[in-house]
Amino acid sequence: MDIAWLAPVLPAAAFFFNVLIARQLGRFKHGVAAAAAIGSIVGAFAVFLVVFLDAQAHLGGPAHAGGIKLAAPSLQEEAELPRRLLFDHIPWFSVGRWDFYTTLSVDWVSIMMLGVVGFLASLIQIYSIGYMRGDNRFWWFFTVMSLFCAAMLGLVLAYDFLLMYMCWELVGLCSFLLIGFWYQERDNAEAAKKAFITTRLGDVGFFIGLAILFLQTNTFRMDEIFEAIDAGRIDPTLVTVAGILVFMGAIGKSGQFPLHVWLPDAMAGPTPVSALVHSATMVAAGVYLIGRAYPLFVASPVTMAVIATIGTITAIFAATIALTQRDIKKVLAYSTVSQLGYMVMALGLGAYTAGLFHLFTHAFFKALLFLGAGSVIHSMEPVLHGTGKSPNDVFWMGGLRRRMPITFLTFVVGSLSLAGIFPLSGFWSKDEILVGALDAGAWVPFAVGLVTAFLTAFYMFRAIYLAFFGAERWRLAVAGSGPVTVAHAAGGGVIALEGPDRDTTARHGAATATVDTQDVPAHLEAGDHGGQGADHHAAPHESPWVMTVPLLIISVPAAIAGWLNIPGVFTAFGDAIYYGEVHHEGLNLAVAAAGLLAGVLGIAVATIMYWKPLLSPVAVGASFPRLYRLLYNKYYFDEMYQWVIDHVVLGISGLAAVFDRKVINEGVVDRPAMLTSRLGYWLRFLQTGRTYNYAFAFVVGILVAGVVLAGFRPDFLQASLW
Amino acid sequence: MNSRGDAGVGYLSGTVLAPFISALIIMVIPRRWPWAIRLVATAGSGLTLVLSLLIFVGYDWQRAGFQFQELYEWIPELGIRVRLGVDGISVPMVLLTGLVIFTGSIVSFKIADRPKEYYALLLILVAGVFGVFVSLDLFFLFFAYEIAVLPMYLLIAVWGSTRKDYAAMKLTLMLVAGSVLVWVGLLAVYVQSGASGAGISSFDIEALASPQVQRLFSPSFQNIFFPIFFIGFGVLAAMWPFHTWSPDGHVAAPTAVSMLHAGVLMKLGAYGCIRVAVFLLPEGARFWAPVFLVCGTVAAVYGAFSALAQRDFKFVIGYSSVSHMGYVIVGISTLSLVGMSGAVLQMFAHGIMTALFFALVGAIYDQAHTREIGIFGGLARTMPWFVGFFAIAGLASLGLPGLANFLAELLIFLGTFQTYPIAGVLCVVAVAVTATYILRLVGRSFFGPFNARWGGLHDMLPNEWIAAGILVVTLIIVGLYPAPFMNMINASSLPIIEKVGGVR
Repeated sequence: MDIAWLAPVLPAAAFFFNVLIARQLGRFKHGVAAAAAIGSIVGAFAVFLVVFLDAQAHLGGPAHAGGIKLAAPSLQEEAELPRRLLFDHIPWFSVGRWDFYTTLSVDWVSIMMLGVVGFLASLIQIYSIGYMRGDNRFWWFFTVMSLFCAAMLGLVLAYDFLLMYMCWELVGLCSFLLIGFWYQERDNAEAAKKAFITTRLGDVGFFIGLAILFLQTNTFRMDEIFEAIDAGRIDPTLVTVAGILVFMGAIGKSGQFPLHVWLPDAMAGPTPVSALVHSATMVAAGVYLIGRAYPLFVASPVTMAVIATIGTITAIFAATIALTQRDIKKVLAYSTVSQLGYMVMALGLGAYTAGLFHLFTHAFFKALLFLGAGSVIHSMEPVLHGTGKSPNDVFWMGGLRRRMPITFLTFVVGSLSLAGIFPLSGFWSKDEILVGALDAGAWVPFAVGLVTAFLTAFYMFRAIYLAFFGAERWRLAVAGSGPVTVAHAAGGGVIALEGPDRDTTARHGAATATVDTQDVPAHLEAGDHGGQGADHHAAPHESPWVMTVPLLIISVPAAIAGWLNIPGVFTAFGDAIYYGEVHHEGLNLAVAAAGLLAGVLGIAVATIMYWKPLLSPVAVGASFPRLYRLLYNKYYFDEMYQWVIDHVVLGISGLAAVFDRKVINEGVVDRPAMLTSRLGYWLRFLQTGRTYNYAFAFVVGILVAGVVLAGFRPDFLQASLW
Repeated sequence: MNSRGDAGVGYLSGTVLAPFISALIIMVIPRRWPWAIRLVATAGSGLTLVLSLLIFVGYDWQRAGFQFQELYEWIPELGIRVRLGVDGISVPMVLLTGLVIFTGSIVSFKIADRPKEYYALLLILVAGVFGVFVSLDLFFLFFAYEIAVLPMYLLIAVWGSTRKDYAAMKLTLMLVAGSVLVWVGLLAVYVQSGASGAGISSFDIEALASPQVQRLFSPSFQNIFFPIFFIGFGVLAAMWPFHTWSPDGHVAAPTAVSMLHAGVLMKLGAYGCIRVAVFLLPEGARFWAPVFLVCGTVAAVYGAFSALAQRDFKFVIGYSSVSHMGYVIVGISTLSLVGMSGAVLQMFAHGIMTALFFALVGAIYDQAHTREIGIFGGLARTMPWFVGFFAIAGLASLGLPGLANFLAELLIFLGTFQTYPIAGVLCVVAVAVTATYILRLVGRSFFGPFNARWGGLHDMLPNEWIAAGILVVTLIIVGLYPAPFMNMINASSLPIIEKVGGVR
C-alpha cells in the first residue's frame, strides 16, 4: 500500500530526466525520451497492481465479491477493515496556526482510477510511438505525457484539496501544452489557449469554494472537512455555496454545460492526447472530484439538484450537436461531453456507484474509439495530403472497413459498447444510471437518459457508416485535386452528404449518389490511376502493429469492463465503490429493455439513413434546415462567447487602458507637471538679480525660522546648535 | 560563542559595501578595458549574492527578531546611527536583491555604450537597496532609499529606449514626491518620539516600536501620518493610483534596470510599508487598512485588465507588475498573519519572476529592436529555450502550482477571504484575467505560423541562459519547498500582526 506514492513519482522522474538529460542526446533524444516515458508509466501500472493486491487484504470492500480476490481476509477481519488508508501525511509548510500538508490516500475509488490511468496511459503511449513517428518534437510529446501522467496520478491519490487543486492545475497545463503540440497552426494555439482559460474560469469558483471550506475548518484535508460538514460545524448555506463553487471546477474540467466549448476544440491535439487526456482521464477528473468530495455535495440538496441539472442538460445538449458533426474527432468529443454529463447526472441523483462505474467503463471504450479514429486519421493523412481536405472529415472517408479491418472491428466494438448494446460494457453502466434515475424518481433525467442513448447510438453508427462503409469518397478528393474530374463538375469538390439546403442537394446529386453504392464509379478509379500516378496518392491502409495491438488490447476491457458489476451476478465494483452503504441496483428488466431498445433503434435509424438508403440524410437535413444549422453550429455557443470576449472583456480592458493613460496619467500626473513648469516660468520673475532683495528675504527667513524653532522646540535648538 | 544568526557579524555591511566598493573600483578602471569592468561588476555582484545566501542560511528563524546586528555611530547628537539588522521579512528581500543584481549584471554584458558608468550606477543603486533592507535606523534607511532611487534617473535617461526622457523624469519626480512624504513622516515620528521630554528622539526602529515610545503616538497622530508613510512608500510599490510611473519606466529602462526596478525597487516600497508604516503606526494601520485594501484590489483587477489591452511586451509586464504588487498591498492591508506572510512571499516571488520576464524581453529586444507582441509569431520553433523560460515566467505569473507565486497568492487570498471576502473574490478573478493576457501574449508571439522575418534571431546566449536558469530554479525550489521561507517570514510577521491586533 505504502508504495502507491511511486505511481506519480515515476512519471515525474521521467519528466525531469527527459527535460534535463534526454534533451541533450541529439538524435537519440526521441528514443530515450519515449523509453523513459513508457517505462515509467508501465512502472506506475505495476505499482497499481501491487497496491491492488495489497488492498485486497487490507481494505474493506469487495471481500464477499468472490472472483477477483487473491488474498482474502476472513469475514470477521473484513468487517474491521478500514475503507481508506492514509499513507502519506507530510507537513509541507506552516503559517501561523495553519499547517499545510500533502496527504495521499488509497481507497477503492483511487485504486480504480490508478488502474484506469496506468493501463490506458501505458497502452496509449505505446500506440503513440506509431502515431507520432517522424514528428520532430517526438521527445517533447513523451516528455509532456510523462508530466501529465505524474500530475494525473497525483490528482487521483490526493487526499487534501490543496494537493488536488495543484495537480488539477498541472494537468490543465499539460492539456494546454498537448493541445498546442502542433503550435505552428494558429488554430491549435488558439484551441490550447481556449482550453486553459475556459477551465480556469471554472477553477475560479473551485478555488473560492476551497477557500471557504478551508477557513471554516482550518484544513484542506478532505476527511476532516467532511467530518465538519457531517457534524454540522459549518453553516449549511455555506456548505451549499462551497459545494456549488467546487462543482464549478468540475464544470470547467469535465466540459459541462456551459463551459463545454473548449473540449471539442481540444481535439486539435494529437489523437493519442485526445484519447488519454480529453476522453479517458483528465476530463473525467471533474467527475472524479464529485465522487471524491461526495459528502460535500450530498450534504446539500440544492447542490445535488444543481449537479443533476447541469449533467442532464449536458448529456442531451452535447449529444444533439454530435449528430451533425463532420469531423470524426468532434463527434467523439461531443460524445465525451455528453457521456460526462451522464455521469454527472448520475452523481447528482445520488447514484454514486453508477456514476463512477460509467466513468470506469467509458474510459476504456472512449479511449478505444479515439485510438481507432487516430488510426483512421493516420492513414487518411497521407492520402488527403495536399488536397486541402481534412483527414478527420468523415465525408471524405468511406469504405475503409476493407482497408483497415482491425481498426474497423475495434471501432465497432467501442461503438456498440458506447451505444449500450448488450452485453458490452456500456450497457451495464448506462443501465445502472437509468435505474438510479428511476429510483431517485427523477423522470426527466430518466427520459433524457433514454433519448441520449438513442442519439448516441445514432451518431456513432452514422460515423461508422460514413467512415467505414459506402464508396471510397477519398478518391473524389484526390481526383478533385487533379485536372479534370467529376468532382470539379459537381462544384468545387464539395460533397453534400447531408445539409440544410435542398439546393445543394440538387446540385450535388451525382456525388450523393456515390454514397449509396458500394462500388466506386469507374471514372473515379480512372482518375486515380490514370495520369496522376498512383504513387502520388497512396490508398489508406491499416496502421502498423504498434498501433493496432494496443487497439486490440484495449478493446477487451472496452467490451467486458462492464461485467465487473452485473446486478445479481458479479458485483465486485459496487461492493468496493459505494457511498454510505453498498447499494446494488436490482436488475430492472423493463429499464434494461428500454435502454437496449433506445440503442438498437439509434443504430437502426443510422442504418437506414447511411447504409441502406431508405431515408436520405440530405432530405432529412433539408426538412429541418434551421435545426440542422443550429446543431451544425453548436447552438452558436462559440459565437456567443466570442461576442462576450470581444465586447465585454476586451471592452473593459480597453477602457481600463485608456482610463489609465488619459485620466490617471495625463490628467493626474502630466497635467500637474505641466502646471508646475508653467508656475516655474512665472516664478522666474521673482529672481530679480538685485542683491538687496535677496538680503531682505534672507533676513526675514532667518528670523521666522528662529522664532518658530525657539518657540516650539527649544531643546532641538540646543541639541543641534550647541 | 557564536550561535546561529549571530555568526558572521559584518555580513550586512558587506552587502552594502561590496557593490559600493565594486562601483568605486569600476570608476577607476580605464575605459578601454570593458572586460575588466564586467569582471569587477560580476565579481562584486557575485559576492553580494554569496553574502545574501549566507545571511539566508544563517538566519535562525526560531529565534526570530533582528539578527546579524551591527552598530556604528554616525551623528550621535541627533540620535542618528547606522544600525543594521535583518529579520525574517528582510532576509528574503536581501536574497532577492542578491539574485537579481547578479543575474542582472550578467545579462548586461552586451551593454556597449559607456559600460563603466552603467555598471557603476547599477552597483551604487544596489548598495542603496541593500541599505534599505538591512537598516534598523530610519535615517539611514531613508538615506539608502534615496541612493537607490536617484541613479535610476540617469540609468533610464542615458541607456533607455522609447520616450526615455519623459519616462525617466516622470519616474524620478513621482518617486521623489513619494520620498518627500516619507521624509515628512520620518521627521514627525522623530519629533514625536521626543515629545514632552519623556521621549528619546530617536530614528531607531526598535526603539520607536517599543511600548514607551508607542505610547507617545496618539491615535490621531497615527491616523494622520500612517497614510503619509503608506502612500510615500506606496508610490514606489506602484500602488494604484500612484502607479503610472511604473509601466512607462519599465518600458524605457534598459534590461538590467528593468529587472532591478520591477524585481527589487518596487519591493523597497512594499517593504517600507510593512517595516515603517505598519510596524511603527499600528493604530493608523488599523484605521486605514480598508482604504488601502481597496487600492490594492483595484490595482490587481485594473492592472490585469489594462495588461490585456497592451501591445508591447514590456507594457504587458509593466501592468502585470501593477496587478501583482496590488496583491502585495492587499496582503499587507488584510493585517492578517497569513495575508502579511503571503505578501512578503509574493514580494520575493514576484521579484524573481518579473526579473526573469525582463531579462527575457531584453534578450529578444536586443536582437529584434521591437517588442510588439503581434509582430512575432512561431518563435518557439527557433528559440525553444527562450520560449521555455518565458513560458515558465508566464506560468508563475498566472499562479501555476509548483512555482513560488502560487503559494504566495494562495496565502494572500486566504488572508483576504478571512478578512474581506469580496476583495478576495475580485483578486481570484484577476488571476483568471492574468491567465488570459499571459496566454494571449505567449500564443501570439511564440505559437502560430513561423514568421520568416525573425529567422535570424538566435536563442539565448550562455550568459542569458545562466541568468534565466538561476531565476527559474529559484521559482521552482521555493514553489516546492517553501518551508524555509515561510518559517522565517512567519516568525517575523507575527510580532507585527500582534502589534496591529490583526487576525492571526
